[in-house]
Amino acid sequence: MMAVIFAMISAALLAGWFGRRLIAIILVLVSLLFAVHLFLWEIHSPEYGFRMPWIQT
Amino acid sequence: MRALARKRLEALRFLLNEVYTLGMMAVIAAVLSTAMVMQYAYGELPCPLCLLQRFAMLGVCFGLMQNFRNGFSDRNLGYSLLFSVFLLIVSVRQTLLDIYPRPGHAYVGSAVLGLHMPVWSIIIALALISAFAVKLCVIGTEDGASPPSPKSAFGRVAAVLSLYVIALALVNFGSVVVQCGHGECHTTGYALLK
Repeated sequence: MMAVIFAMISAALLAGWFGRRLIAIILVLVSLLFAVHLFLWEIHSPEYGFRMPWIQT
Repeated sequence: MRALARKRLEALRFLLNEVYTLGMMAVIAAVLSTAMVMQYAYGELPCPLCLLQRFAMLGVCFGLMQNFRNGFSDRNLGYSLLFSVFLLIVSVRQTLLDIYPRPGHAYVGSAVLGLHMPVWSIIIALALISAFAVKLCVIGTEDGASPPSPKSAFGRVAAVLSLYVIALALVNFGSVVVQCGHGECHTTGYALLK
């Protein structure tokens, strides 16, 4: 998943450089969606969910 | 006389906008370069959230680069702001994960000036968002302004820096493939080199 995200942002930068603006924008927005999904997956814990009980006082 | 002064002021505003945008891209490129030096020279492999922070910085650069390739636009500013906010969210969450010492959770990598990478990322994200706000307050919107001529010295510097950012993205992509392979990313070693 991480490799796909970096492939897409690299492709977006290259497409933007070569003037393919629409393709670049689609790639960059889809890569952001993938990144948000991966971020939520990374921080989700089976034990705590999205909560952070260790910082509750 | 007044028309000439206004014209000169407008030209100065365009130049300031280009210098400001290029400066922001240069700072992000320097941060990404430092992160890669820490990875390759000191063997500090990035964690998954650290990689997402690098991705966010590349996304900010995407919006800045588009200004130099296709002309200045508020939409490009929007892309950069979107990725700046994503950078802030990821770095705040990572800092909160590691802020209280407990087994299995500690800041990844060494501290720079006493601060670890996710804390630096918060500062960078806040600096970026503030920089965009200051730009809008002081320089104003440059929607529709043409990019610098590729033949001008400024245009050439922008092109070189843009190509450098693309190279950073490609090297990061290769590095992620080697580190993560098809599965999860770990800081213990490169998955494809084991």
